Amino acid sequence: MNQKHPSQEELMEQIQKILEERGRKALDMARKTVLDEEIECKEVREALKYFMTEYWHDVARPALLSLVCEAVGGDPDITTPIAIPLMLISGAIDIHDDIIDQSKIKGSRPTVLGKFGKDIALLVGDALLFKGFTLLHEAAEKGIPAEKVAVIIAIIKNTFFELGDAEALELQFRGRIDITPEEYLRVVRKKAADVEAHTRISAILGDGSKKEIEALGEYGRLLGMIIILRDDWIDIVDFEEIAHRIKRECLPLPLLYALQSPKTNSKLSSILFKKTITERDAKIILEVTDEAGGLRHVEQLMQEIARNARSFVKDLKKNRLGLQLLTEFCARLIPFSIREDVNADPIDLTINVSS
Amino acid sequence: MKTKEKLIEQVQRLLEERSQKSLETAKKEILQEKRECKEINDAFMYYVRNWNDVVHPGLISIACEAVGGSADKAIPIQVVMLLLTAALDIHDDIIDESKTKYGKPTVFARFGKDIALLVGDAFLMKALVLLHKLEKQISTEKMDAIWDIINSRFFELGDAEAFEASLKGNIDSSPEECFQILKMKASTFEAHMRIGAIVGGGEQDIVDLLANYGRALGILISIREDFIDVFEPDELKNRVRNECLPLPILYAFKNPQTKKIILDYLSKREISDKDAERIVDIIFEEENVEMLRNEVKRLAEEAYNNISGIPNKSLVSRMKILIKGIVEDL
Repeated sequence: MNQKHPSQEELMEQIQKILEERGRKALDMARKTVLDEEIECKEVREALKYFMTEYWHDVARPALLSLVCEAVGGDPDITTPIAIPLMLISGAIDIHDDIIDQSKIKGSRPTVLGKFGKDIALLVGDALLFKGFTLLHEAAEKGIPAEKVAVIIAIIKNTFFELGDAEALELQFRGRIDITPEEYLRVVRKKAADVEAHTRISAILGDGSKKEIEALGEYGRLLGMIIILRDDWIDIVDFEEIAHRIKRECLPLPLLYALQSPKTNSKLSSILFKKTITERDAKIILEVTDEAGGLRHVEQLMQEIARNARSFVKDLKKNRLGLQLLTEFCARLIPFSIREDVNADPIDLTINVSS
Repeated sequence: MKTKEKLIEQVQRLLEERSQKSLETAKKEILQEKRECKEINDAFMYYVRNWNDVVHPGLISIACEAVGGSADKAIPIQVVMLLLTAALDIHDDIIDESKTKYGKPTVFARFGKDIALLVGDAFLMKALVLLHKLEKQISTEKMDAIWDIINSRFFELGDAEAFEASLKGNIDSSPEECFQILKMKASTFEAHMRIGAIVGGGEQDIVDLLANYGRALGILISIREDFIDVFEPDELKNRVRNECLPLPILYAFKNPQTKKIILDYLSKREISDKDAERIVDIIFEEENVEMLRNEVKRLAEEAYNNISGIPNKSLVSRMKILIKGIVEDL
């Protein structure tokens, strides 16, 4: 039977559709749960409402839970009682990260920090963390066996501590141009613990085998790394972001690669230590980084990680292609490279989209 | 003076005896997590070295025993609540920009906002994880009640913090507004008593009475701290900049003339020991502060009444000592 294969753009659209379809229900339920909470203080109430309804559109995490659970033969709906608390906990971490990084705007939207200030942002983060854990307590009543809840909580705890450690290590990188890419990548791997937690938890919920759980855990870790590296790549081409990274955070990986060359280092260090980074400075940084091969190096690294990530899901019963495409979607800066897989198994994707 | 010292010593001993085991366990629990970053490890060590919260675990133990439960039974929940209280305390210091507490630099002052935020988060996470683990030891019914209390009191405390943050640096805040914040903040004391009584197996009516005692006690402790802050120039300066003014000052402000005199002192770049002494003298002479003292007396009475029906009379007398120790020299 002749079947028309979708174009790259169509595939990307389909991935977005999958994320939306699979993540929307949990996102809406999370929103309702938080907004139903009785909060007397108007400012906290408004900040929570802003975060949950205008700022936070995270369908990717719950969708990933759903896809992975189904991939090991589980019912994706069983992930919802866990997806909601996980979203709230991730949201809490995100808000507190913004306080540390002093990120007042993300994308085109003000963060909770940017709109309501440090004090309210801190309280809102705490409230979401608290609510998330309260909902985990209730997950047992919603059909998740107590022993699984205990394992899930242990994973969340380890992840949280790993992320905290990564954040603290990253603080030591602030304002430094002598960080090696290897040092930075160690922190990137730690920061990717969040996505690994999601895939691991979901494989457990779906009763995956030990081998599947481990493979999907590593897949998540690598997927998380790709997402972080993609942000690093994007940050260096965006004036506002690169200025913020230089002043408030760790330098992005393409720049760290470029700084390894003494010649580039001497060209860039005077700009990087300037009090204010102008748009022209940002342009020079981008050009010099590109000339030194920093961007290409990161693209190649992302390709390599994506290839590695795909290998961990190649033996899955279902959703193999969906997860591979998700990897590709996150690493969309790199050339589209799994057309062969699409040709080999087009029906798999159709099933995913409609299920 | 000698009698007063004895009373405070008694209170301290009463709480220490009931807190030592849980405090040691809580310290071990938080330090056992492995971390690569030296600075954050140092921050944890620093907090743990200076961590001597005997009040919160002490209250849980007292409430548990008051309803006939064994104090040892309360240790695991004491550990959870210690960690939780520490988390909120560390985060509160960031909001209030508190540099010192009990004469020592806070984590915020010593390690900065970012590390303090991460340390507070870690305490919060550890507390919530250990609370989940208690589900194996405590009945589902009791656990549901405990989660409910912690959740609602937590949100009440958050509300209080936010309310307080909105009044930061506002010298025209009314004493009534700040008293309301103080009442809301006392929700943690109520929660500790309530949880202790539930773990001990108390009936609902006695649980409620003990909770009321806890709320009154919490308010009294805060009022006491507000009086103490008036004596401490550094703390007073911080309160002017970053928090609500201490209640005795706000009550004194009801008299416009007194308000003007005190504001002259508070607006100075530095408040000297002599200035603080003068403020104290003015406050203690101000008739409006008497209203606050009357409220203290009323709350103490309310606390006594709440525990009068508890059969363990020896414990009741110690609970009364606790209140007396707090209000004695106000």
